[in-house]
Amino acid sequence: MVSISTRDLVRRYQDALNAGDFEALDDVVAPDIATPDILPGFGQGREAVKAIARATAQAWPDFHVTIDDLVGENDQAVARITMTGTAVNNFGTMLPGNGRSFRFTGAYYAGRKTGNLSSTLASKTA
Amino acid sequence: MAKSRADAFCSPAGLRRRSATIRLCRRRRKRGFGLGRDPKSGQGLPGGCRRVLAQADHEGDPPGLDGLLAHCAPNAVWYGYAPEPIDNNGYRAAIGAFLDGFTDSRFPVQALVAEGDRVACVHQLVGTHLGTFQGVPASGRPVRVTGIAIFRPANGQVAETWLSADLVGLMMQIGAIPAPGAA
Repeated sequence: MVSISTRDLVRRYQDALNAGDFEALDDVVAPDIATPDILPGFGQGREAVKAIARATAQAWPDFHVTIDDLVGENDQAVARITMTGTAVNNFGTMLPGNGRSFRFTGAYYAGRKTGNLSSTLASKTA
Repeated sequence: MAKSRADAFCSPAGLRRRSATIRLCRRRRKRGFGLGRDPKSGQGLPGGCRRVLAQADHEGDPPGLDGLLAHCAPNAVWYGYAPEPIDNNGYRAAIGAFLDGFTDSRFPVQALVAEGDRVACVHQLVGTHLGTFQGVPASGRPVRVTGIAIFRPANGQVAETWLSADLVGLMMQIGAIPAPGAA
């Protein structure tokens, strides 16, 4: 029996990312989480999620995700989000650290099979 | 123009593709996506959502975009487009432009999540870049990206939708912008 709702799990996931507490992701993300839409070059699974979080925090120190809407049902949830930040440092070779602030919207799906998030599908609107 | 594309979309070939879509959805469900609600039937969804999804996924014999918009309120509001929000005419133009670029597009549904007065539909945009899209001439490349639409129905019709489609991923797949990590 799962004690926390999927939508609360998504909130914990997002709070951990916003707070920069990446080790807390161990408590909410399954080690073998399926992330077919993840950026190439970071591998797969929870370690890839953490690696992207670290790269993001390094390139965009003020990066913040606001949940605009959260639709949850049983073992699934969809979050509609707004992402803001400032490109202080380079993110890989593609996104230069030009000092510009940005704001874009997106959405992601999270599913769970056992206690923790086990799969995501993501979509970002530039 | 947009209308004829949409009609072609629901042709016998489109219907044959749909059965492939159903098989794809079943496979994805087994892999852990779309747990819970059956993404094909959308059973138990409120208001016009189930019918809109059926039209979008070409169930039965829908008359394309017109059929889809018949289940939307006349003053429906669509977010997630640039500029936003747009009305039904804007939606018709936006989707028409997409269908002109990807004449064989399909939108297989992977998960449906409903809570309160909202229904989230997680789907893929699958197609081949066979026409000009956003000024980029046909490349012939296949594309597959994720889209997420959240519907808010009212009085049996869709009143508001929020769409997030991975257009950056799409533009990378047709070679219009470089992929991350590419030199």
